[in-house]
Amino acid sequence: MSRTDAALIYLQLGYRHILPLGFDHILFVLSLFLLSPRLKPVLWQATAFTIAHSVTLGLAMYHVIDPPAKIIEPLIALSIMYVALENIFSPRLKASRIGVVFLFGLVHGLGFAGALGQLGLPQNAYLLSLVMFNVGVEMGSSR
Amino acid sequence: MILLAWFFLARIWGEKPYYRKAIVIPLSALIAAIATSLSCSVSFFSHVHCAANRQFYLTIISISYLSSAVKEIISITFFNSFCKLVSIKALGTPAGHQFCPDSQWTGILCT
Repeated sequence: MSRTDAALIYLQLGYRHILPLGFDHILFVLSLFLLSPRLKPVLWQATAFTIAHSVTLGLAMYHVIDPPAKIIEPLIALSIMYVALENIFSPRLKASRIGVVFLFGLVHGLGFAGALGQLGLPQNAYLLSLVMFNVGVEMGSSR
Repeated sequence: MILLAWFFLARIWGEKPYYRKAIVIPLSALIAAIATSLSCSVSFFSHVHCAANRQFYLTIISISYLSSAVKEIISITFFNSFCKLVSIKALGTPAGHQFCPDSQWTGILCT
């Protein structure tokens, strides 16, 4: 597989991991939008989430960390529940929300890594495929 | 596309007084219920190989069905209230009725 083919394939895989397969991630991003419809808080939260999941996705794919999926998947569901409940019980967006989103972004990144780990990455374009998968995830999330 | 559409709708509704009570709370409740259901199902599937206890399966399945039922009840309740509110806002209140002062977002009418 050429580097260009790998880049295109992993871009598509990253996108498909969110749409239509990543229902849980869509719910999480939708929850981030709900409390404040203004652009600035949404951008801050989306940036924190993107940085966080990129960090853990990279670390997991380079085998620096290797958390079990049976812990990560329920944690992702609990993170959605937490943000949704915060939307209900908190009348306005708190500054701590950015930190919470960053923390949950780390967990979601490990979820992406679990999916990507099952697919595997081509050895001749390991980093490129990883980056393109992440770009595909971003495209799916922001669609 | 869904998020983009939502964002523009939120820009329109975001400043309305009923935004939080009629949109944020019901939608968040629905998301929380779905997340509860998801957490139950992923916990169940990740423990299938390590739990040999029938009672454990039954408990997890019961919780999952219960959370699904709660999710349905919440969505139907809030959806009905929301539709009622929207139709009343659009068509006007029926003759001889007006909104109760403290419950405009639920669409409850007073005589």
